[in-house]
Amino acid sequence: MRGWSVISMTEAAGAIAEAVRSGRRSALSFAEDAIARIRARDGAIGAVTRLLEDRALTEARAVDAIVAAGGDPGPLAGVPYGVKDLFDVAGLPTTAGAAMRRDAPPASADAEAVARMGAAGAVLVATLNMDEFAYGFATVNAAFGTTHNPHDIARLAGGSSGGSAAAVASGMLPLTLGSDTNGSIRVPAALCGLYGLKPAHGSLPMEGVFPFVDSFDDIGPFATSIADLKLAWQVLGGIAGGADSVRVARLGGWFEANLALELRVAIDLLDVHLGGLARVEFPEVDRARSAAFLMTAAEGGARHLPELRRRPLEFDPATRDRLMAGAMLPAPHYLAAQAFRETFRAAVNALFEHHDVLIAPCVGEVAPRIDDPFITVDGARVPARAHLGRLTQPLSFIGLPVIAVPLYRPGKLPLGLQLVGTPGREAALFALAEHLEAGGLTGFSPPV
Amino acid sequence: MSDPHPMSDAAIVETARALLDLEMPPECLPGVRANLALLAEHARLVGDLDD
Repeated sequence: MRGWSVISMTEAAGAIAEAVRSGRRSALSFAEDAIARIRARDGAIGAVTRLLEDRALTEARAVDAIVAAGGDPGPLAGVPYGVKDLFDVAGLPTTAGAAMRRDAPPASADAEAVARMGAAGAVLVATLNMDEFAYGFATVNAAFGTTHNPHDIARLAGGSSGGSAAAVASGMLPLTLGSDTNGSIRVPAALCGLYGLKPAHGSLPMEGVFPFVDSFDDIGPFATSIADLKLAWQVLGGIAGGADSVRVARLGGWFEANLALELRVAIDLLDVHLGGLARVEFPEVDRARSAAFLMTAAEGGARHLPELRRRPLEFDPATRDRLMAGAMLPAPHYLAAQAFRETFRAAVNALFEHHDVLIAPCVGEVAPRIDDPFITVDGARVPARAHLGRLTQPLSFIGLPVIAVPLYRPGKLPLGLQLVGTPGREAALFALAEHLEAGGLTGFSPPV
Repeated sequence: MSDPHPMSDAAIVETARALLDLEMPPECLPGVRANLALLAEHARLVGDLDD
């Protein structure tokens, strides 16, 4: 038994919205409950960087006023949620997880995603922890602390959107938003046992989101069910449509190496459940991952170069040294990576002529321990902070939409899969995720 | 892992200064050197534009 003995989860987002819209329960009461849960639990988790109590209560009262007047506040009426600390929140500095930005000028307006959530009736309760400037897969932050995994607080929550994942997995909030550049939604979703969506690149609004790598940055939600994930995605601007076909295959090669035995067995069982899947392979995945690594380093380094010149010692050292090295990367290497991206994209697109969804693992093993932050790759122990995304990075490299789904493993540490699709055919991803959840193969298991 | 990056600490400092107008504090050098080595490995995997 880890953490608390019996965890009471928050209600699902869809159920909260239904209760508030029907007038059965007030948005204010849900907001107060969320605030109380954060106060009671976050000391052990470290997911929340700022509790926005006044704003939450004000927004909740406004939702209740609409209901009282006979109106409809929207599909997320009264749903408490939080955002990774790189979304602009009007009146607050957007820290992006950096100590040097604690005193940045306050945002003049909410990020577009926050505005859309508010317009749908959602109630913003908290900002959430992350790796500094989103550069990492661990949420080990020199200024704001380490976010602990609710399933075992001695383990990493993953990153860089670790606070967003841990806030949902611990039952403090039913929905959160994060960002994903190389896996920063999918990795913490897998390690915390949640659903997470990395949308097709550029398909959800990035206005008011502190940038990291323009070539790869996207935002997306975390939730405990595929229904809640879909609801949030649609509010943010996703258009599902209908799935004409759901032709499924599993990704082999790179995506089958370095997996824990229990993960390999789970994927085999899922394969059988789906009637036997073809295996397909992406070509040169190692090269794709390296190219993503180079582009990330170069674009991230270039973005932060002015502050690296001005006040290098105010960065988290682990972030700073990666950014400095990235800024020094010779341009031909960046251009070679960019050129290879088009080659890789064409090869992968050809595979999607025959398949709608490809299944791959998300992280090869359970969450690493905080005091031993390493994973095993090809027999070597490598730092989790840089390598937890080895299975996610090649997919965001070409902007594919991916739903991270948790294997249903009550009482065990989480493991997750990626359902990988192609832009414009997201409906097939949701259809498969709904089928797997209905069949009991995937689903959120609360921490015990 | 061996360090395949050929730059000395002095060369790293001088390159950062000359090309980026970046004065690199000494405490950054071990981390930057290690990260440059990692990037060099990735660059080798990706290859050249002509590949």
